[in-house]
Amino acid sequence: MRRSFMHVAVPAIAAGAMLLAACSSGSSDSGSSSAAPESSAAATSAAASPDAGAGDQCGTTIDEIAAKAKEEGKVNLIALPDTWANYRGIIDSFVEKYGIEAPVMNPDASSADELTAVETLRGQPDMPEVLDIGPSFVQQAKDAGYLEAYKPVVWDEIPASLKGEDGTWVGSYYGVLAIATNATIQPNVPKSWADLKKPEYKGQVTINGDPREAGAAFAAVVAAALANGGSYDDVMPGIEYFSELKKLGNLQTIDVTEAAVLSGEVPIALDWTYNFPGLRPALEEAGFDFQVIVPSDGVYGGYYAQSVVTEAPHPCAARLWLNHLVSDEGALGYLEGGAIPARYAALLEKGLISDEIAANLPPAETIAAISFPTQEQTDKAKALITENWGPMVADQ
Amino acid sequence: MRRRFDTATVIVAVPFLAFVGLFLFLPVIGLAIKAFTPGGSFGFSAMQRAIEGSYRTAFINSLALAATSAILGGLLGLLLALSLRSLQRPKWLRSTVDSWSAVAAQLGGIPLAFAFIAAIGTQGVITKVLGLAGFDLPDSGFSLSEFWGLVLVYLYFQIPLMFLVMMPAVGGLKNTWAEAASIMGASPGRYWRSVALPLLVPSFLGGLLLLFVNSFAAYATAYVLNPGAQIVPLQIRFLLQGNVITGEQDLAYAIVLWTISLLLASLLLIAILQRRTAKWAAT
Repeated sequence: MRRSFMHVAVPAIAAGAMLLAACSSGSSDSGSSSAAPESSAAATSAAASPDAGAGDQCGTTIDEIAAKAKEEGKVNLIALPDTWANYRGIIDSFVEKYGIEAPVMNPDASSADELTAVETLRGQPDMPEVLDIGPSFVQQAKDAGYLEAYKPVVWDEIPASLKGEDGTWVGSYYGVLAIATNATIQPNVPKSWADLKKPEYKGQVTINGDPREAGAAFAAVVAAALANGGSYDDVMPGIEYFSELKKLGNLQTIDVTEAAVLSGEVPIALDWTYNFPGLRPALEEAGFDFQVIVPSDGVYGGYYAQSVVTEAPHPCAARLWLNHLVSDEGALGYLEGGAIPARYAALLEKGLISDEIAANLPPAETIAAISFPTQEQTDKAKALITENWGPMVADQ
Repeated sequence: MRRRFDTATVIVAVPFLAFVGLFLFLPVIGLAIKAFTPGGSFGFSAMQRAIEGSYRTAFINSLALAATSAILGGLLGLLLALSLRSLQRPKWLRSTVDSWSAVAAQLGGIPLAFAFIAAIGTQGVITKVLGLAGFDLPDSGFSLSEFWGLVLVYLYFQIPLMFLVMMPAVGGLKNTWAEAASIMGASPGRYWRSVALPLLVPSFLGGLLLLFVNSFAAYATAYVLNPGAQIVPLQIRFLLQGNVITGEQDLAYAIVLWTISLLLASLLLIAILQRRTAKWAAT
């Protein structure tokens, strides 16, 4: 679902072009070759009829599903980085609780990579069985027939804006776009989008990748639009904002990776709230005081959609994993990683959100005010950014 | 004169041809088919869109970047070759430059980009030292992620590559020619104009094209220095492998096809120029 340049996978065809150049020129600069996950011999065989009616086959309560899943023994996950929204912790709790293997192939894969993996590994015992994709990929995945209609048992407690009505996906967590400042390098911590234009932040404001490619960067543009008079329907003010930031010399566009943050290369990062708790121990060790602030003038929440994949070799284990993500335990796991679980309101009601956890989150009223763009609004924003980011920002 | 293929040639050639066929021609053909059938039916819309709007500027930027780093790298590489040729002592210098060039010409991608970031990035060692000396590098307008930053990093492998390419041609200039020219009353300038340069030009141009192709296709280096750079290899990445743009594979294939066409045209030019060089040397 995201990118890390150490794991850059160039699709084979693009690699072909590089190969052409490399062969012909003895070139020095090769694209990293594609990283197709190797398939190992599967320990378990695929279920007899994995698709139709598998939901019933697996049972309707967690205990029934867990028993069937245990027989399958394994669920193949993809694109879940350890430090992303505390996925390591959530996976560990799943493995411990249910005694089911949950290997993650290509943890740093992008959404596009995930769909490619489903397409190419379909029918193999190692194919990814649960996806975690950007909302804009849901339609494409649905059209391709990859998304199983499956409603986890807590379905009714998930807000309507965070689930597909037909049950093809749930957005089990979301984050808020934050301004994170390394206060050791930049003691004057910016609090708003307007602050970032100040001359003292020259060369320091780091957008995480490129909005034509990275979800977090895309979110930054939309959030900046909201802060500057735009809306989900019109993100142009966000592009204009970054254009101005670039002209002021404040914007730098390197990837916000752990290494870049720890080296001090990134004094101010624009990224999801849930990308920082995972970095905290290393940052403290490096002696950095890191402050994550939700900007006062533009709040944008973004979710990733989780779906069980059709014809999964371990259909019940895949359903169990989805249930785990939206369960109280999974939700608390997300909270630990700084992400807001879909069932936030339900957890609040149950009194499961302690003051300690709440301290890591944006204020409750900020969370309550978060709305999500519709598919059409996202598509429109995407088209506008794809067309204008190059000439207005990247090329300036 | 007719010659039959001998068995040894066939044994060597068949695996090579099979490899090239499978991993070069087959993918390119598949690519071309996809680029010309956007959305499943034959049409030129993808090829057309691939050179419009922000993709056009990406091609222009890539061409400018490739041309600049090729010309600068080419001239500096040629000068290096010429100066080493006339340099007799110290003897170790020539072999050191030879070995360094062989290594540096192949060095690229993430390690090279990181080396530059560690040296002259915003938190780089040299940047910090310059800062102590009162020169603020980031404030001077120089940035590794901008055009001249990329050119600088690319030069690190372009210059030695040009050096390696030019060394044989420069080494082929015989001292006796210069002596003969001077006996016939030619000034050193005239000798260079009428004898040495015409000999060097074809291989120099060939080398330039090589460098051009080399930097046009550079991907990993550029990605590390600026993942949002408005250049062709990264645009292909946005379309094929991102979290934002969906369903634009055909456009990506079309851009790749344009790129391949460009590179093929360059390779053809190299071949023609090299044939000219060979002819000259033979006569």
